[in-house]
Amino acid sequence: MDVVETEIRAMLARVLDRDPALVAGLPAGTELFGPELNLTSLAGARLLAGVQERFGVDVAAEDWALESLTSIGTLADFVRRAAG
Amino acid sequence: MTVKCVVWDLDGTVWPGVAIENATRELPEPFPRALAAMTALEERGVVNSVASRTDPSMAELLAADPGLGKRFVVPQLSWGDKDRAILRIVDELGISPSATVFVDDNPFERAQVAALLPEVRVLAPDELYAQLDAGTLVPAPATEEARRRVDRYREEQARRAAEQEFTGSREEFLRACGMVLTVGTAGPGDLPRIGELTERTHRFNTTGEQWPADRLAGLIDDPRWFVPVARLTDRFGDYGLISTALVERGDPARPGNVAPGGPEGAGAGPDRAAGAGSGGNGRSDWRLRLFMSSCRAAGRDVPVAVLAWIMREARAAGAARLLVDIRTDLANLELRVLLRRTGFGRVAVTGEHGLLLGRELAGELPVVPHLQVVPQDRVVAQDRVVAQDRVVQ
Repeated sequence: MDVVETEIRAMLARVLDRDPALVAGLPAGTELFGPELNLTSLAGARLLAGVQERFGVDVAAEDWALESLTSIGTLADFVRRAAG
Repeated sequence: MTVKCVVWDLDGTVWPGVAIENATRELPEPFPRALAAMTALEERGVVNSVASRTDPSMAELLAADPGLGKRFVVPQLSWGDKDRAILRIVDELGISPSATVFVDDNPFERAQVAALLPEVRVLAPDELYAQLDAGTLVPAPATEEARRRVDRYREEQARRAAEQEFTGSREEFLRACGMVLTVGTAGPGDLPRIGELTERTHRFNTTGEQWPADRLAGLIDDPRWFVPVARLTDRFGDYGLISTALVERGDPARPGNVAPGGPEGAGAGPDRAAGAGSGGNGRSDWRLRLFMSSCRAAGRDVPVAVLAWIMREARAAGAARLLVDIRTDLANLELRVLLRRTGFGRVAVTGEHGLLLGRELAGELPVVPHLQVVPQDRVVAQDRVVAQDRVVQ
């Protein structure tokens, strides 16, 4: 797991107020809006603000990349590519 | 900015003299003019609060007072400075300092607050009464919703206190709130509140489009449009009408054909051809031209439940997809994340910052377990069921 995915998992744990070790151990395919993480819209907005601050990637710009809000892996892939 | 809260000094303003100097532990008789002003403010949707420089133990006495105790929300009684007290009040109520009036008989206190909080309107008691009488401070309430705002602040205080005491999870707390979402079609009586929501909602507003009152009135009688309304109650009280939308029903007989419209009348608005109307298999699509939800009940998944209900209505009418117009340059990111969460994806670009999202209506639709959704016309029957439950218990 690279630094992008590791940090996204840490941010997820923070916005969801969950155990960081638990979120770090989930499969990359775990769905963000699925039953395990159950990402709320407010927590999702905070996660995207954190991603922008840390990686300089505006996932929400013009709404295009919100499609990457599917799983931990798809979001990490998008941020990795956008951050170059 | 609209006045939402008046912060009162106590000694010399609400009552004569200094209460703490009373030999008996009793509060002085309040000035009738002050009580009348508080009532007038409440009727206009303005809440009353307190910033008093006194012994903190007076708070208990004030809360227990039959005439005054219930009038004030988040009263601040301490030896500390009043500008700090006012900041705590605006923070608790979630309002801006510029929506606040501070009233004090003491010129020193007025000068200090005026200097440290220039956004707050600072008045002597007589100035407040004169402005209230002249109608220049707060206009008469526009809607029943505005008149009920004071009750809502109180209900919200009770709700927060209950949540802090609750030992279970957030979801368990939400279930314990007994939330009922009453859904139905808008009637003429709902129009002022729908207008208010188009002006006041930002976080949960898809396009921010302003629709003139006469256009809105036309839509509720137009069979090509569906204007849903949702009201929320829980065991603490009534949130009122908190969500609405302007939905174009697709024409099943003519896929690809949608009702003419837009806020300014026929022909205005984004490119209407993009993706709208046809579900691709000869079935029509429904299109949310505007969706709004009040942040009064944020964190309760109300928009999810309302959208899910609209999806069910659209599916029952034979629609293949539900489409939603959004603007991406507004402060509505939370709503755009929520739309992804409820299964919407990109369909087409409609303008510089305009997008059309959509989702299929086949298969599973979202469910919000802690919100009981009740159709408007069945509310009476529902009350009867609840009453029977109570008898059984």
